[in-house]
Amino acid sequence: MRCLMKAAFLTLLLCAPARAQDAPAEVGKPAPDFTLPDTDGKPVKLAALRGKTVVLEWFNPDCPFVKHAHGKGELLAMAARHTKKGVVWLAINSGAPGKQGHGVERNAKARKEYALDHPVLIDENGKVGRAYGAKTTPQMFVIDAKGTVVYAGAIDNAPLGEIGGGKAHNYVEGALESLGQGKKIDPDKTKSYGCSVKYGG
Amino acid sequence: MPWPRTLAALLLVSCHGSEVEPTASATPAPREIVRLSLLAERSQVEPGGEVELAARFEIAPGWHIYWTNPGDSGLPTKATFAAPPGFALGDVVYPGPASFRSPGGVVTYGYTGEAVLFARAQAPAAPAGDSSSFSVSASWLACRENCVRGKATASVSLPPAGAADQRAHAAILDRQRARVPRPWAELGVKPSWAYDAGEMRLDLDVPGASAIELFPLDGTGSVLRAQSVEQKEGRAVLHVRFAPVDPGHAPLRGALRVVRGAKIVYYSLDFPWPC
Repeated sequence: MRCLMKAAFLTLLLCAPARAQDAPAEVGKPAPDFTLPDTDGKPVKLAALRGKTVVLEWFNPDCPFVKHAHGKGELLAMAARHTKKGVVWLAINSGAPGKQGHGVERNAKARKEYALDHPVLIDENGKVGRAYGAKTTPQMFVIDAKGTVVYAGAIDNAPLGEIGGGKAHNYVEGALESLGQGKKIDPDKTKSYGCSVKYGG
Repeated sequence: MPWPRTLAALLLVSCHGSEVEPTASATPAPREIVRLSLLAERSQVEPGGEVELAARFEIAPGWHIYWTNPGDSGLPTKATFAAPPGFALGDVVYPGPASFRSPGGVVTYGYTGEAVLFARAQAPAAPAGDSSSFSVSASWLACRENCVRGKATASVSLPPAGAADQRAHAAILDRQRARVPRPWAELGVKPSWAYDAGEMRLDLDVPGASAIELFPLDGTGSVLRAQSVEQKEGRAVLHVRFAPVDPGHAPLRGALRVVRGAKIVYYSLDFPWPC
């Protein structure tokens, strides 16, 4: 009897509409569009990048996890490597005014400190962060040429360089590789880790 | 005067291999945020006896550290215990956490004020040496609004049996042990499941409760959508909504915090998803 209920439940599931409110940017769904200024004030529109693979990296230059990832961890030079292959890499800072790592000035400076060639987009009111359900820095999204989210989650399985057992796995590297080879991305969803995104109240 | 202080802070940082945020003037050194000590519940080691070890974290006001599942952000507090050869060490036991909410729907789980991670050491029939030395190596992330990584080690040495064996640190350990989740069966509540609109809904109706909260462990946290408490006459009902789970998903695991008047008891949840 309960299994019948399960069958009915599964049917319901297949027909259930997307729950935009709970999981705003979902793997397999279109990436929410946005236009945000970079640290030079130049607007960047996601939809205008259709046809290219896009990586979004939630960023806060003063978060210890971001510092580790860009200092000696997996993000060091990773963006530059993939940008050369035609991937568009966008860091997004959703920190509110007055919060850690916030603002144009700090992030323009951070681009130099971390030797970033890609833009850091400023999302002071946190609208884009909330639309993506970004909760940590870093937190990664890979968007394919059609504008579909194909990976969402952590950069890797090693917070601050410590692997909780098993092998080191850079999930974003794996996702970009699989995408390039037309293979299935596995895993395509992981739990991100890091500092909380410093949203305004 | 400012110089020695800065120097001391730098020394502490390098000793503990910790990371401090650049606003060092506003952020205390890791050692000032969390202090680690290792407590042993017995005054000596009895042959074949058990010694409860407790890694105690004293956390500065306004700061918190994290549970084994930190939630949306943060990092698990970890403790690795070590005992002399011949001792058997049990699993690390975490007390039930509190939850913290920050803007943007970020929910995390952890501890303020004080936390203790327990591990039991079983002595061999004939412990060797003049004393038995135990140690713990711990790492944590302490956050207020911003976060500071901390690492430390602590140790304690116990004499062999000889004098009368006594309990030690009873007040601290009793207080903290009262937070360790009890077996689920002790709650005596039957979970009630329903399927609705592409979700699984769990209701827990707890007589005598004024507040209930579910703290999910990792595999359960990833499918937990929302929880709410309904107050009823002399009872509280917890409504939890889960995203659908695939067959073979890890069982529902977590800790349930039940408040009855001034008394708070945690229960351990570990049961299969329905059907």
